[in-house]
Amino acid sequence: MAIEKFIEDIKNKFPENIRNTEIINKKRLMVYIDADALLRVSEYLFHDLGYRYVILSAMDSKAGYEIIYHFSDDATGWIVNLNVVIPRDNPEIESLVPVVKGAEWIEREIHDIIGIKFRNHPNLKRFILAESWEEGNYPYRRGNNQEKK
Amino acid sequence: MAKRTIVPIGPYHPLLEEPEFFKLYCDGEIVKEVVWETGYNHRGIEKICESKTFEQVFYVVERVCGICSTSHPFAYANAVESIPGVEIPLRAKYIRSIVGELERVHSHLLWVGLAGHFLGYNTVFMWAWKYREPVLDMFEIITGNRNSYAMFTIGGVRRDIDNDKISQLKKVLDFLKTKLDLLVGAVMDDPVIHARLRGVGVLTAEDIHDFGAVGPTARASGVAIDVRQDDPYAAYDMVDWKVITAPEGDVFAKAEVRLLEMYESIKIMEQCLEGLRKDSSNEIRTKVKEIPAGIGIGHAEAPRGEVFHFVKSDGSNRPVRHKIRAPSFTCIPTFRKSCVGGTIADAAIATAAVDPCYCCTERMAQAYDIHTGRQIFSMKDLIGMSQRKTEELKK
Repeated sequence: MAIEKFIEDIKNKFPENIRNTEIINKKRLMVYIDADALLRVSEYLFHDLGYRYVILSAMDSKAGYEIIYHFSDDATGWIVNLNVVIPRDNPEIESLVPVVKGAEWIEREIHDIIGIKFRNHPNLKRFILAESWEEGNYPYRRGNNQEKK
Repeated sequence: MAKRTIVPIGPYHPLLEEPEFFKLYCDGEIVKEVVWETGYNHRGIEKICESKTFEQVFYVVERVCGICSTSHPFAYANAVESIPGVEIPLRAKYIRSIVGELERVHSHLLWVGLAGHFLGYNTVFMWAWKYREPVLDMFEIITGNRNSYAMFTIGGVRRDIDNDKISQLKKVLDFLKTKLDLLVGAVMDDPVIHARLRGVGVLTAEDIHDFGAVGPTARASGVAIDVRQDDPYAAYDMVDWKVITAPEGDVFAKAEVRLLEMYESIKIMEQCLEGLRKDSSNEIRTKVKEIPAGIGIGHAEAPRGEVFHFVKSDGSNRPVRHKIRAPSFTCIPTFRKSCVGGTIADAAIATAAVDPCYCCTERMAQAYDIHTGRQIFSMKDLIGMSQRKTEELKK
């Protein structure tokens, strides 16, 4: 599908929830969406369009905690990224696992390193950090305890 | 509830000898569930990258994995160069592809050898590893190192391949082709290997989509995805080659895909070498002054599948966030499909079939009876079980 058509389709399908779309680079599209529409938009990309789930990138940015959901349209080589901002005072979002089984590990990883809670995740326990790592110390948050020391 | 035995494979994998820990929940000899525990190998590389300059990050990501040590710089280069939109010189494109394909050949040979050993075919192991040596020697001639090549930099490569090296490399490729024929014949025509690997650890195209599996794991289930074809980078759109797929989804199909892919890699390298020979310029690097603020997303096809890098720049000289996804991260969870329902002897080869890399993502095997705490299998026992099963099939 041509990217212009994709942008038009997704805006028509979720008129309330798409905040903005931006072509960031060659063959790379960023779609800014509301957090509560995440599952519906992902479902559309993953099941209806058959895009491949790639990974989630999470970061601590100025706007809050940002998660970027990367999907790849292998037929055209475009990577479609869903950008969701989560408020710092309530770091919670719906888990992607009911839609994409493969997202289980990365959500556990993000929970470890940034401390975002994924609702309805089947098994949100510690993934990569050591057992002795103190609870509530998230290494990828800006100005975390580790950096202060 | 029926009594179940937990068979822990780990914290060292019997085949690949890297730290990882699976618990196989078994009913008799049949695997019912696979649980994985990680964290043995977490080195905080993404965090380290945030404290390095864009240039230095190449040599950090090269150390994500010792075997695919060019795939990570490759994907990172694609990501970071996409921010200012740099076009690299033709010569650099060819050289990047050659290093990438040489790496695929050595990595696949390594896997074929190990898989052969695990099945009790030590001849395959000896051959594959013997013929892998000239490939590593080539690396030394081209890059100066047998491993961790430090070839890539922003805007191109750091060393040229001159005409003398081109003819040396061509000779090695000709030699490799004859030896590959030998190896492929030994594996593909052997009725015992067929009997041992056909129908083991099957993944359907649907499983591949569910888990986001990539590379030879996906292609062996008939899913024709390959970054080199889907989103071409370096010289891959200038050469003639094809994506190898097999429809069956079992361990044999994965072996088949890897074996035949090596021929394609050789084909790509021959064309790139020809391109290098015809190219009269000696420009191997475009100067890049600075990386502006922005987001770079790059991927590259590693021997195990797509390596994905996400780089965010704020206009300073270092990334503010660098996310790395290795192919094993999405391939390993497929064990929940490929091992369940099979026997313990099959689980060992099914887990090895995706060529998992725990350094990228993140041991054997001591098995204990959960009720008595008595040790049932040691690492030797598990390899022995797998090899005995092959022996029985030979009869």
